Amino acid sequence: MTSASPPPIPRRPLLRPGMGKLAPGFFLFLCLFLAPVLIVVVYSLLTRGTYGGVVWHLDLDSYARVLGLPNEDELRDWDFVYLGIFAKSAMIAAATAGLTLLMAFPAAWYIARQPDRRKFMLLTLVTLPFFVNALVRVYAWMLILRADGLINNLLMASGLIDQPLHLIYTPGAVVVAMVYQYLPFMVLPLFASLEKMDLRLLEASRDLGASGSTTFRRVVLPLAMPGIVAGMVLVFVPAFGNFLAPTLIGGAKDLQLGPLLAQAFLSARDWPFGSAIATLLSAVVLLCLFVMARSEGRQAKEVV
Amino acid sequence: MSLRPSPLKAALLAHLWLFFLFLYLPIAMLVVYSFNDNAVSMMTWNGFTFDWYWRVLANIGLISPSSDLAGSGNLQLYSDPNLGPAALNSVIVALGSASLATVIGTLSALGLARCTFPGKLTYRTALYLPIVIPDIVLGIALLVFLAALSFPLGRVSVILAHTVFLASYVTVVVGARLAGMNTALEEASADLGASPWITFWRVTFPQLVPGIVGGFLLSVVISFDDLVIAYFTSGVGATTLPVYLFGAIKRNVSPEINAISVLMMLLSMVIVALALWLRRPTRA
Repeated sequence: MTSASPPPIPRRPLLRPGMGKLAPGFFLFLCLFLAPVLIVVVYSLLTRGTYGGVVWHLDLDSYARVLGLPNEDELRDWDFVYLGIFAKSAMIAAATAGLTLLMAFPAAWYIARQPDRRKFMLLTLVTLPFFVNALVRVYAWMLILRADGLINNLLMASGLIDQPLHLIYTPGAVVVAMVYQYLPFMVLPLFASLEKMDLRLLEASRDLGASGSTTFRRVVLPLAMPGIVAGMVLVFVPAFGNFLAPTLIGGAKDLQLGPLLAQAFLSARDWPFGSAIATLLSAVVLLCLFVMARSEGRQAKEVV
Repeated sequence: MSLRPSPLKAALLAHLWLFFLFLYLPIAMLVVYSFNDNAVSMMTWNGFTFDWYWRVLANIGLISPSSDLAGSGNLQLYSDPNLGPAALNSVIVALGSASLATVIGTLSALGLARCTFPGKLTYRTALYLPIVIPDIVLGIALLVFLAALSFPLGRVSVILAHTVFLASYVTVVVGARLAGMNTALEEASADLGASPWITFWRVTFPQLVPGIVGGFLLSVVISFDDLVIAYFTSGVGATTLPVYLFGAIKRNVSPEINAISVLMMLLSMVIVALALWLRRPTRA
């Protein structure tokens, strides 16, 4: 977390003309973003009250529970169920990001090689479904994957199967719905780095005798890396904490972070524990974004 | 672009077609089956009907459930008192938060573009946080915060919650417009003796209008789209349309949900098309 208040500098006045315009946004950011997020971090260090809420008693037991450490006072043994949920959520999000990359890369490559007007049109077509309500898009996948859904109906009608396949309420269903949801997040940064790519480098590589796959590995991939990293992060981050898809089409046994968080706050009313999970989730997200920023920064340096 | 021979190009083109099929087929399916006259097995085509739309519109109160419609079978025995208020809440929240965010975000963008101060880069980066933080974390943080202040949950709390991340969004959109603007015009205006106030309203603002309107429209769509943050901050009385729909979907899928989904989609698409048209690249 970064402090937005500038350090005092002598001689020059701190408030310059025109800075008043920043006041409402700064106030909003401070009161309704920074303060709430910091409260969550503080709550994660407190103790749960008997009737929900928190008691002002500092301890790290919420984190110990997430990590699965035993606690004799609470008669708790080693238990890695929450670490397992973290790992499963991370794996599902990583699978989503990987699949999204495989689907988006060729499309972004093709779009980047089109004339400007077509580029703009194709990119608009890529972005447009993103503005369809996220809930509606997950719902569409429910209709496709249900036992009496589109896929099963088609397969049954064609005689390929005689029992409906178990498609919905599986990790695979969650991955497909999230790939669908976040494809634009992958296409746009990939497009940005592929469009900038100097195609003469590819020709040079070919002229020097490199095979197609070598050229791809040694020239295309390194040049596209900032776009790949940015796309992976932009997909992984919202997929990791996703609430909608796991809740509606995820299996009851495969609890993920988003639904777990909602449970901790809305039904279990264990705010310190929920806050600890939210804090860890945010830490992972910030780490990912940091990696992305560094990858872009390194690329910028290498170009110079 | 002399890249490589045509097999690769053909494969890429084929992939692009599949790619767009994947993107648009689920939406198209939803639209088609929202006209399916089959109340029992929704995904088995039985014939064309407008009934589900009439039901939804009658429930929102846009049309009265007249007798000639009630004769068509599907329309009977249906009233849901929660749909209308939820739709109204969504409209109020979207317009309220988008308006607030547009004013605050535009001011922030102007301040960031035209002033230098220590820590500016840090602040500019920090303003991205409300956009990139998982929505569930922001929703929970606001829930905890509002509870700590004993602030009542309702339309106001949802509007405030949406304003937080929409303001960041508008700051980015308007900031991008400002960055692409030529400052020579502003300097010329100042050289010709115009006061900063006149320069702003006569020179800067007119150039900014497409960015501001675009930012406002996209904010409306994003607010209208949000489930998670509203889910945590709306309380009982201020259920928005996505929160209502989420509850309905969790109970069961139904043809009315199809119709509501398609209507919401249509509304978002119209607004986004308008916003994209306003932000289209004008210079060659």
